[in-house]
Amino acid sequence: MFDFNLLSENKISFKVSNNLFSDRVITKVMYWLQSSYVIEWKKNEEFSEIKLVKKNGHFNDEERDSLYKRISQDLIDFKTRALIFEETKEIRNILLIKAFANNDDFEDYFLTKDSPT
Amino acid sequence: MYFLLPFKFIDIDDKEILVNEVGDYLVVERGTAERIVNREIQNDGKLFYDLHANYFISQSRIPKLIDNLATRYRTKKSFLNDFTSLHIFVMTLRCNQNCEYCQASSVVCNESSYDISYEDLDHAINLMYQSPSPSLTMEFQGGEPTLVPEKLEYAIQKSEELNLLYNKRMTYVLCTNSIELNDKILSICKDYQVLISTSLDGPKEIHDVNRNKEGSYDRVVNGIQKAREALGFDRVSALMTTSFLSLDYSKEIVESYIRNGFTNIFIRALNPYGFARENDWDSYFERFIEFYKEVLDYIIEKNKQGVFFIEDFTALIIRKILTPFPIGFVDLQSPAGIINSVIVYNFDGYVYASDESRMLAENGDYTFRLGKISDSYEEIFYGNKAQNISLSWSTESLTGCADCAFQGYCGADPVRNYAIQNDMIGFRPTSHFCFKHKEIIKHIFSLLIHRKDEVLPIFKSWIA
Repeated sequence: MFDFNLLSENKISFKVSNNLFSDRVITKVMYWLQSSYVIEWKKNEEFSEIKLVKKNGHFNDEERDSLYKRISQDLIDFKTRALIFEETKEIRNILLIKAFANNDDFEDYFLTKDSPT
Repeated sequence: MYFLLPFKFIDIDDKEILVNEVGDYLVVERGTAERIVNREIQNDGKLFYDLHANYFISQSRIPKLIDNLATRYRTKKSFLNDFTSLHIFVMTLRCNQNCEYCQASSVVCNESSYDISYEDLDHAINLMYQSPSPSLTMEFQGGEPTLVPEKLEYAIQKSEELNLLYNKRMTYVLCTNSIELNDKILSICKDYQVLISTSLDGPKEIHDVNRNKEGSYDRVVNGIQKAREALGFDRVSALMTTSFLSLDYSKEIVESYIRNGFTNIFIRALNPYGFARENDWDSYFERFIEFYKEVLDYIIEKNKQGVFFIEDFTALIIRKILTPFPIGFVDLQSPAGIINSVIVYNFDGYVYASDESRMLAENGDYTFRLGKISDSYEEIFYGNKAQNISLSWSTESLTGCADCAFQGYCGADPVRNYAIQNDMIGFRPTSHFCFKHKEIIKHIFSLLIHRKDEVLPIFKSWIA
C-alpha cells in the first residue's frame, strides 16, 4: 500500500499495487471496512486507487494511523489466506471426498502412478 | 521442503492462532502463517514438527495419514448422519407470564384458538417418526405448554404407541416456566421420564423484573423444588436470559444458580425475535461480551475454590476446540441446525425451520414456514423452501465466514441473518451473531494463551 493520504476531514485515499495484491484480496479487505466507510475503487494497469469515505464523523489522527496499520496487515493476511487456499484446494477436495464418500468405493482414490507417497 | 495442508489463522493478543481443517489449533508467534507459506520454516525445528504432527503441513503432497484426517473431519460433521433429531412442538401460544423480553410473542388469554389441534398433533408425530435419526427428542414449548396438560399427555401417549413400531430412543423435554407445575403435570413427567427445562434469570430482584410479575421468582423456585422431589434432582435444568438489567449483576446471577442447587449456567444473550426486537442491539452486545467475561472469570474463581460449576456455552466451545466430536448445539453447526437438526411444529398448523422461524411468523413473516403439518415429509424437509434456505446455511461458503479461523467452532444462522439484516446470507461486519461468537471464542483462546495452567484443567473437567 502506498500514497496513504487524508483528502478531507472524512475521506482517505491510498493505492495498492496490482502486482502484489489481486482484486480478490483487496475485495476481502474492503468487505470488513464496509460497515464504517463508503468505498470508491478505481483501477488502472499498475495499481488500484481506493478512497474511503467515513459514514459518520471525521477522521482523527489515531483512527487514521490505526486504519493504515489495519489495512496494511489485512492485505498481507488475506494474501496469505488466498495463497493457502489456492495451494490446498486439491488436497481439501480429496479430504472431503474421503470424509464423505463410501470408503469401499474410494479405497484406491489416491493410489495413482504419479501420487507421491 | 514441505506441502501445505488447509488451515486458517487469526491474531489474538500478541500471538497467532493457527487452526486446521478439523479444528486443531497451535499458538505461534505472529507472522508464522506467512512464514509457513513462504517456506521459511526449517525442517529440523520444534515448530516444523508441531506443524507436521498437527496436520498444518505435510512432507508429501498427500499426507500418509490423510485417512485419519478424513475420519476426523467426518466425525466433526457426524451430526448430519441422522438428520433431524430435535422436534419442537409448540403446544400453545398462551402463557401465564408477561416476560419483558418474550421471544415467542406469547399471549395472555384463555382462547383455545392459540392451542395446537389434536389432528395436527397426530400429523406432527407421524412426521417426527419419519426422521431417520435413531434418537429423537420431542420438546414441548409454548407459550406455556403446561396450560394444555391433556394435549401434552395425549402427544406423549401417541408417540409411545408409534414407538412400538419404530423403536427409537426417545427423550421428552417440557420447557416450562415452572409456575403451574401441578400434580397432573408432574405425574405425566414421572410416567414418561420427561425432563424439565425451566427459566431462571438469577436472583429475585432480576427475575421478577424480567417477568413483569411480582412473586414469579418464588413460584419458579418452588416449582423447581417440587419437580426435583417428584422426578429426581438431575431431571430439572434451567436457562437464563441476559436482559439489559442482568448485565450489571454477573456475580449475583451465578450465586443465585449455585444457591438453587445448579452446577451449571448457560449465559444466553437476548435475541432479536418477537417482542424483544426494538432494543438497541449494538450497545447490548458490546455490554454482553463484558458481562460474559465477568461471569466466566467469576466461575473460574469458584472452580479454583473447589466449587464445581460450569458455564455451558464456554463448555460447548471448549468441546469443539479440544475434541473431535460434534456438540449437538444447533446454533454452532455448519450446515446450520435448522432442518438438519431441529424442526418446529407450531400451534398454527404449520411447520417451521426452527424455533426462531416461528417467532418471526408471529410478526407476520412466513419466510421460514416450510409447509403445513399435514403435508408430506418430503414436501416439508426436502421442498423448495428447504432447498432455498440450504444455499446459505454453511459457514464454509459464506462471505466473511469462509476465511475465518473460527469457522469450525462457529455456525451458520440464516434465520437470524434474515431477521436482523433482511438477508439469509447476512453481512458479517455488522452481524451481532458474528461479533458475539468471535469475541467469546477469542476470549477463550486468550485464556488458553495467558492462563493455560490455571484454566485448562478446569475447562477439561467441564467436558469430561
